[in-house]
Amino acid sequence: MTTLLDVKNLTRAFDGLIAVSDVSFSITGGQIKALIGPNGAGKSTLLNMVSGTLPPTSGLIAYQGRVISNRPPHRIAGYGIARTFQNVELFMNMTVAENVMVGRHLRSRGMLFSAMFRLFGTAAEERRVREDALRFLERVGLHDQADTPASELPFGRQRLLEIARALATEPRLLLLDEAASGLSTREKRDLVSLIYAIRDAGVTIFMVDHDMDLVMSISDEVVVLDHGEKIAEGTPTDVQHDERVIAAYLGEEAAHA
Amino acid sequence: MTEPVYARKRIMGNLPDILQLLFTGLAVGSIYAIIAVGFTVIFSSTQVVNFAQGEFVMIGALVSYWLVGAEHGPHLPLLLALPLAVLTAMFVGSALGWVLMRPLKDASVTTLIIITVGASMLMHGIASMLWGKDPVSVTAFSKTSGYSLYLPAALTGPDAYPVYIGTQELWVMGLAALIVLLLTFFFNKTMVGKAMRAVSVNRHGARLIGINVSRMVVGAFALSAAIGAIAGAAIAPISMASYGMGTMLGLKGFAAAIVGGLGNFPGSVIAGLLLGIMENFSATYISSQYKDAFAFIILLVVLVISPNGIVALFRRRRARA
Repeated sequence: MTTLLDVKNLTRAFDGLIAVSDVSFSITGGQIKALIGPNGAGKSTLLNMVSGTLPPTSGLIAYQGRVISNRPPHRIAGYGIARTFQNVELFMNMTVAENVMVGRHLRSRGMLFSAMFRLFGTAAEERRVREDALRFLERVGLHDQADTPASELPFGRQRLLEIARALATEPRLLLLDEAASGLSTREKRDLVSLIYAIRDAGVTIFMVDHDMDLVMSISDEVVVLDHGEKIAEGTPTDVQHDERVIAAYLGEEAAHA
Repeated sequence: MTEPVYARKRIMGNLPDILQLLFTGLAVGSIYAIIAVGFTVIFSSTQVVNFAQGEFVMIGALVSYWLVGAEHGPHLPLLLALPLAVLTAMFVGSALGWVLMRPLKDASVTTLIIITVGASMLMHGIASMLWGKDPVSVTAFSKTSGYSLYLPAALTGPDAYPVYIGTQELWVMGLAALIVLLLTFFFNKTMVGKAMRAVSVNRHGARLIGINVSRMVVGAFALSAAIGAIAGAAIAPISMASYGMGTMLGLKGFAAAIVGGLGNFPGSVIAGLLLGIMENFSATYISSQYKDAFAFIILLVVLVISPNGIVALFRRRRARA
């Protein structure tokens, strides 16, 4: 398998505070890779740089050999990188199906002015897009709630909807930001099989999570950040036995005790 | 014994007057409604109150006047002139949207609102140079100016006036209804409309699923300018056209947008219509000198009773019941 995403010497400073410092790693196509680390380690900052909402201070991110670290978020989404958020960012004024349909925006032909002038052609397009959307909803098991307002779904299902919306952009790389947080044990189990199904469909997964059991059980490789620096990278077993990782986590626990 | 009969006759005798006021009020109200919808389209995608909204109306009126009826103009047929006037306004609207999104994208919403006030003055000034300061009269859309509608004499008495149904007023109402229908269709049934709604509730989420937010905002300005220009072209044969017509119309539309609950599409339409009707009645039965003040008195009263607009008021009532 080839390298899908390359992160090289990535650094981000906020007014002198260094959130991410000289981090390099790469993601191979087809794998499930996880990013872990104690609170404030710089995980979200790193994820925001990959999805383009935060420009890096220095270093670069390349996706399929193309530098993307200076591109706007909607472009990066267009290249095939989708993401979900810890506190789901859905369109709460729309139904479940409409949320996914908007996710098809990139892959549908409705340009702004043609939509204004050829209203009826776009209505047919809309029907087709809705059918696509229902397919994506079926993958996460929400197709029977297609016409429910998104705001009325319970939190666990909103998260599934966000994953369906991300899949609707037809990504090759899916970034999951704390996808398991706030989910019940059963919902987490369903999430794990969903993540496997997405991977088996050919989408590479890069996830940030606090749930150590989940991360260790499903990841092929793990990157560990502490105070903005990469302190370890490898298989879950390697990482669990790494001295610096143990120190980072035990140190944190000791501080809380 | 004669007293109640007399009273009944007096009310029925007023029926043509009342219907007349209702009819012309609805026509003016339709214009306020379209302008209010223009405010809503821009507000929901940017949180900016666009005080240049009234100038789009002026552009629609003056450009279509120049293309159709002006002495040294090209004397185009209306069917060609109207789309050209709309395109002109869309061009100006897109330029304004682009300025607000690109060079000024990091400015606060308040700054952007002030910029729209400035843009309004600029358009005002340019229009006064191009078309002069005198109001011009504009050819109506149809040759027939209107119909007299006689109510049954049994209702009104034998010597009552007819209700005059102006054709241009009918055009105004028809176009307003068409705009509302098309916009409802656009926002609910097209992909771009949905993307615009997505931008209005969650810009961050929209951006990350690949929506070009700046382009959507420029599109919202163009759309809003287009509907403003249609309103202007339609009202001009009734009210005459001048460089300054946008100011008062814009403010009335703004009042309607606020009364309807800023950002609320059906609310803006209802509030616009009500404002037009109430203004017309109060000008006749209270005082015509304060005609323009009534819209703002209504605005103040609504803001005191229900700051989120009349629709919010009904919603709250229903929730309580």
